[in-house]
Amino acid sequence: MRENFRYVLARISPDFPFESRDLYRSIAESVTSLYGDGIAAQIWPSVMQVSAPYAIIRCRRGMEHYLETALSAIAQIQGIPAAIHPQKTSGTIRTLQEKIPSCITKRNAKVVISGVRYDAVVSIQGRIDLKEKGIYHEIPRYITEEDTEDLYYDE
Amino acid sequence: MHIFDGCVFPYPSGTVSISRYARELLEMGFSGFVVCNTEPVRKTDNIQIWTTRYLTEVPARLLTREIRKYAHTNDLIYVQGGDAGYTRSVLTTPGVHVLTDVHTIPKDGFDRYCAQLAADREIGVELSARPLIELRDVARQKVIRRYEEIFTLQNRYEFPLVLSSHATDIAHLKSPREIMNLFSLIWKEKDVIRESLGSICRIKSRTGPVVEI
Repeated sequence: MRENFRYVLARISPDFPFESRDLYRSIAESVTSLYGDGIAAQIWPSVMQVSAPYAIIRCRRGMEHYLETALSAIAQIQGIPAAIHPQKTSGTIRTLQEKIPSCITKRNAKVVISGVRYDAVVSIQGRIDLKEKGIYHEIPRYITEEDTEDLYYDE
Repeated sequence: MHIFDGCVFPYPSGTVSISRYARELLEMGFSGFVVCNTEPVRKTDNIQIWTTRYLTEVPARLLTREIRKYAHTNDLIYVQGGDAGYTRSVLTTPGVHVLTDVHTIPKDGFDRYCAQLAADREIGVELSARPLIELRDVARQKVIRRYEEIFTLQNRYEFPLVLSSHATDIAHLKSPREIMNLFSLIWKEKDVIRESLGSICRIKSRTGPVVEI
């Protein structure tokens, strides 16, 4: 008999190119630790598509609330602190694919904070994530343009 | 309706700047948030930012003096709970807005009498989503049981609850829907959880000292 599935669109934060198997492991661990093997088997989570920072995750129909809660309870993916934020639920993958913003552009840049230059990734929405190398807790890592003194995009 | 994240830690306690928190939380659907241990923040148009003093491990005899330091500011005062005696002295000290870290206090650290005091004085009890996310196994089960006790007492005495992410990093932030999902593991009445997301406004705008009759 054919199963009925529901699909959950989720945003991964911070924006890091995780593989689908890494996501699956985190989701499976979260579902099992929160609900146990019995409910985990009923939820039947599966990662259908990953296009950073978005992912589409499948579950059995009627179990989407359990899946969303388990996604919210994820603290790390492959040892990297990360969160998976459920955004929308639908009965088809195509509907969710249409909801993924088409232009998610990121640019490498250099930002100046307190007179020092740092490497950073700037997203189109104005989010600036400093690259971890060379930062020793002297400045915040996740900032916006308001926190910078200057911003130069790399060629 | 106001939807607030009850407590986030910006840089230097965390890795995120206040303006970045504002952008992320606005996008997630919050109408405001409370930042801890920081100077007053300039006003932003789209999202309300309130500041708080987060007092931890203050001896009971020094509580009044510590709180008086911030009496002239517009800051909220959050005080960490302790054993039953300490928690009672926190709840009877004028100027306290929110009792925090109830998941770390000893068993019976927040009893019926504390619940009554919190309700009479409109002092909020903060429940953080972070231990529900970061802890696993028995440790998380203990937190869930503690939170369940708090919800049961709240159901009876109706003191305000304050829900927060306790975020120090971008990965700790949770949307209102996620916070509701996480706390619905503990308490099934979603109306109570939804109301708790905005209760910090009620606590901040409470009027004058409460007189016991």
